[in-house]
Amino acid sequence: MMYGSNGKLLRINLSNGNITTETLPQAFYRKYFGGRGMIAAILLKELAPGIDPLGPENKLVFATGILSGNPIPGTGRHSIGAKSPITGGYGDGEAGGFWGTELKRAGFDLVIVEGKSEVPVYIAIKDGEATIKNAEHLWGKHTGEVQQLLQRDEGKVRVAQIGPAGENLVKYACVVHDLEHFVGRSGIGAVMGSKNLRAVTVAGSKSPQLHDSEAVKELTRYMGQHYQTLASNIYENGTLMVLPALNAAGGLPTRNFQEGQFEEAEKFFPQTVREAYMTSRAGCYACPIRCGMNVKGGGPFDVDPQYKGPEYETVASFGSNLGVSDMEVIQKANELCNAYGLDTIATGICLSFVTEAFEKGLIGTKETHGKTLAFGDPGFLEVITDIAHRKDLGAVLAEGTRSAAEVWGNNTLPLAMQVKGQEMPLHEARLKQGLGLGYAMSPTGADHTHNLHDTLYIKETPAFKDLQALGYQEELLSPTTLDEKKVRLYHYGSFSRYLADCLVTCFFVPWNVSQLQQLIQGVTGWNTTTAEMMAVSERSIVNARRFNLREGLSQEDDVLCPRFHQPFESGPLKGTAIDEDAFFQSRNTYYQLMGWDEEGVPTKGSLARLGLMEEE
Amino acid sequence: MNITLSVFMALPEGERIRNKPLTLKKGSTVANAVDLFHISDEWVWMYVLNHRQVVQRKDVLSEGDHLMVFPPMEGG
Repeated sequence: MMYGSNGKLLRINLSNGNITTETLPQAFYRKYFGGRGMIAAILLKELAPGIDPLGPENKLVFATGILSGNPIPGTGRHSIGAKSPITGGYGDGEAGGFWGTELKRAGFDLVIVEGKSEVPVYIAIKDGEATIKNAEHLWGKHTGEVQQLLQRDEGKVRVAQIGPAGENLVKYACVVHDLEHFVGRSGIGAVMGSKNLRAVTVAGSKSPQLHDSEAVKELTRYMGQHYQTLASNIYENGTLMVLPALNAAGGLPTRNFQEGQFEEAEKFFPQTVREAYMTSRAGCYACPIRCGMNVKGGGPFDVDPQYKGPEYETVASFGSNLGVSDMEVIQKANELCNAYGLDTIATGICLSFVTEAFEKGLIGTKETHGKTLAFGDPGFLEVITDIAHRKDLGAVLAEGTRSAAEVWGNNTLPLAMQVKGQEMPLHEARLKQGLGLGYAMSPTGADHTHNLHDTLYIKETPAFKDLQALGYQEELLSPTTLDEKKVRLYHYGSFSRYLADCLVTCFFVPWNVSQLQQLIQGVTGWNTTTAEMMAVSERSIVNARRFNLREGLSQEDDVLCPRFHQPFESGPLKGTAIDEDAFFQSRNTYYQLMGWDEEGVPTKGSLARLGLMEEE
Repeated sequence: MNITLSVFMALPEGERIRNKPLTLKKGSTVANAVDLFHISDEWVWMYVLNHRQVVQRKDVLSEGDHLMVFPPMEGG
């Protein structure tokens, strides 16, 4: 008997309307745990090489993890993966909230959506059953209206949907969950739009059976009693906790990463923002930390509060990185992106890119369709709407910065803050140089979630001790170095993050490695070890790597945007850059450390070590 | 001399220090302020004065300073 999971995959073909349920062996769960581990294995196996990411051959994989569906803090997440229309390689993203929990309680651990519907549809999943329903009445509407209509028609359900941006195949369209949790990266919303799939609703009523429910309850009680101390910063400040520190350190992305300190950053400090706008906390299933914000709305831009308050990434993306100091403008940008279903990171980076190009005279009003752009000018809000509808300047920006730079030429490409086509999160690689290596090595391009944040490991923090438990036994390192020692730190740090992505757990809930082992044992009955957990994590990295290599990505794509190799001209990090020779040496060291050849291809030995030879 | 102290983490007993007014002797250092609360340097990433100046434990404080103490942290 399998504990903690349903052992069931729901497969829905939108071309022919077939809906089937497949039973998955326990060995599959033990090998991959869930999330990106399972998604990478499935995409590698089921997608033919070279398919169009926005064609019917692509598949959407919705995945929970072995811990999902249970009232354990940090497990209310799920992943969605597909071949990415942004990178042309492996793509996925994660969202918090309640949708994943509900799917598991509806009797499924995974959903694969394939094919393409002739007309707009949505999928309704409820307690072991799934139905494809007409969605023509929903097409073109904002996410807020669709959320209300689906909850009116389907009852108490959790909703994953795209907005108009996904319908219009904007490359960085996201998937919006209950209006407040987002699978933002990799263009998963565009893949959903390409299938004419507007939404997937879920409702479930049965939690999976646990192997040792008392052990799980005891651990959950422990976190419930200690989270305010163990996770005090995120509990008090939400994700904005990082903003004052990054600004002081000179690593707050400002005006398209040209600077690292914003002169009006104080306006975005967490207590200032929370006191001015927050009405109550928002959060995810079973999590006491509740790091999100419900907000008042209103104000000069008539902000709609149903779209919640912005997270750090959004504040930096539309704030310091666009030279904007007005929190009302940022809240409006957040609302527009959430209503249209746009990734706030990519949207903001596209806007800061075009603003810098315009200010430097590399493009003119011909390229901007008559718009005058300037850092600090809230006029960019109109462009967000144009991006969602692929209109005027928005039509070019809807393809992303790399594509826009190719269209415009005139040396605009070095201004495009992206890796593998995926726009840069709001974390400065010159401050965190291990993170810079991680941007280059990530299978999904620039990504901050499955990456090393060097600034977490500069003292013997619980996170540092966790890496020691996984095998890292080196000294503490400065965040602004990149050498062989940092590669080793990146290796262990990223492994711990990929592990969280396979378990589909939130890294803001501070479970340590030992507690995760106990949770896995309590839920599944498996006597897991750190070695097993590291192998699961590594399989997810290697399978995504194999997928990318098969799709034509190569060592040439494992690079950073040039700005990170140029020193800051001012601020606390004046003169600091990622040395190019050190970067390429570190990349080679990482390949060797992973057991890959000199071109970054996993060797047969490394595949054999991970039990992946049979999938060759 | 009056300063304000903000610590972006809970102390071991769960105590929180946010915008706390402190009166110190003239010439007091960063260390003098944080030692009042037994804040170990082992927990600290940065000491920051007035939102943007990174300082060390030995640095002297001035009237009206806002001292912020940040722990090691990751991404938001």
